Amino acid sequence: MLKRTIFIVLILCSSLFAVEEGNIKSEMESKIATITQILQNKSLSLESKKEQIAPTVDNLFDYKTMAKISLGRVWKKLSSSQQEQFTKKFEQKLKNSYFEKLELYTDQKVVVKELEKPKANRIYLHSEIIGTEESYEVIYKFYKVKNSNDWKIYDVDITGVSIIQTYRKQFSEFLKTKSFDELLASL
Amino acid sequence: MRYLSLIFILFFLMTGCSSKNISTPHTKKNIIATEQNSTQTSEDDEFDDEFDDETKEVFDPLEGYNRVMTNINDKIYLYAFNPISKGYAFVIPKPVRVGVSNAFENLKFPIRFVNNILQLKFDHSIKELGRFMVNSTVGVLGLFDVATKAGIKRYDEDFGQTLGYWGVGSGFHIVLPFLGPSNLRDTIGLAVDTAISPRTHSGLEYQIPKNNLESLGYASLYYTNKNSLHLGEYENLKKDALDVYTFFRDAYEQKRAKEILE
Repeated sequence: MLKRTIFIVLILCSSLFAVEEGNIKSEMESKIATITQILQNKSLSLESKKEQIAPTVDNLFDYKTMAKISLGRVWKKLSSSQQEQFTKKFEQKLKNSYFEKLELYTDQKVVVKELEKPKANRIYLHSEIIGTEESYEVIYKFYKVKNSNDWKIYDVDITGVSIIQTYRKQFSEFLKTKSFDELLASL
Repeated sequence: MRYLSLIFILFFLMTGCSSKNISTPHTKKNIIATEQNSTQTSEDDEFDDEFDDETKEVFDPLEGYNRVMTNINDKIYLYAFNPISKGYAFVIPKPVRVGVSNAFENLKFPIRFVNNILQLKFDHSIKELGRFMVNSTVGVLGLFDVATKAGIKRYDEDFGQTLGYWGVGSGFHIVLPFLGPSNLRDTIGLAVDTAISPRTHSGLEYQIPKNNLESLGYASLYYTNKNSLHLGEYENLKKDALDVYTFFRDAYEQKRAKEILE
C-alpha cells in the first residue's frame, strides 16, 4: 500500500515538472518568482540559497542538447562514453557559472514578457532583468522534445549574447590547438 | 595633436581595410569548404542552422595587438580602476551614484536623438526629446529618471549602430585602450558620438567641459561611477572564458549585431 502511494506521488511529481507548451509562461513566471524570493531572503546564506534554487531549475534545461550544440561537429566524432563525460562536465560548468551569476544579484526585478514561436518546435520566452539604472533582455529558448509534449531549454540569450553560441566558438578555438582530453580537463 | 593622432588612427584602420581585400580569396575558400561540410551534417542536426558555424574563421588581423591590449586593460582594470571604483562606492551612497548615472545618461540625449533620426526612427527621437525635457526639469537636471518611471523608456542608439543600420559591416575587431572591445565601425562611431557629446570638449557651444582636462575629468567620473554600479561583473564573466580575448570579442560582436537589429 505504502509502495503504491509513493509510486503515485512520484508519478504526480514528475508530471508536475514537465513543462508543456500551454504552461511555459506561467511555469517560468512562478519559477522566477520563487528564485527571486529566495534571493531576496536576507536570512539565508549564499550556499543555502543555491541549494534551494537548484531543484527549481534542474528540470528546465536539457544539458545533453546544450553540450551537443556547444561542441558542434566534434560531437559526432566522440564515443558515447566521451559524450557522456563531456555532458557531465559541461552541465557542472553551466551550473557553476549560473550560481556565480546569482552572487551578483542585488535588488533587480525580473519580468516575464511575451512568448515567441519562431518554428513549430521552438518557443522563445522573452524576459527582462530590471536593475536600478540599466535593464537586460534575457531570452530562454525552448525546444519540443521529440515524441513528447515536454519543452526544454537549449539556450539562453542575454542582451543578444547566446550562451551556447559563445561556448561553441570557445570550444572550437580551443580544439584547434589542443586535444579533447585537455578540453575536458579545463572545464 | 589630437587631430593628428586621429588621422594616424584612421590611416592605420584604412591600411587594415586593404589588407582585408588581399586575404579575401583565402577566407572565401574556407567558407565554401565549411558550407559544404555543413550541408552534409545539417540533415541529422536541426540545431546547426540556428547557430553560427563554429569552424568559420573570424577575420581578425589585429589579433596580436588585441590580445596584448586585452591583457593590459585587464591589469588596469583589476589593479587600478576596480580598487578606485570600490573606494568610490564605499564613500558615495548608492542612491547618489544612481543619480549621477542618470544625469550622465540624460546628457547623452543628443547622441540618442541624432542617431534615432539618422536611423529614421522618428517616433523614438520624439520620445527621447520628451524624456530629456521631463528629466532635465522635473528630474532635477537629470538626477532622477522620472521618464522611465512614467513608462517612457530610453532608446539607446549610437553612431556605430547607425552605420550598421545603413549596411556598414563591423570590419575587424579592435580592443581600445581603457574602453575594451570594439571594432572598426564602432570605433568610428565612437569618435563621432564623442564629438557631439555634451560631456566632452570639441568646441560645440552646449558642451560642459571648457578644455580637454575637464573633459577627461568628466570621463573619469562617468566611468568610475558606472563601474561602481557594476562591481564584480567583469571578474564573474571572465570565469566563463576558456580564452578571455576571444570570449569578450565574440560576446561583443554578438551583442552589437543584436543592437543594430533593434
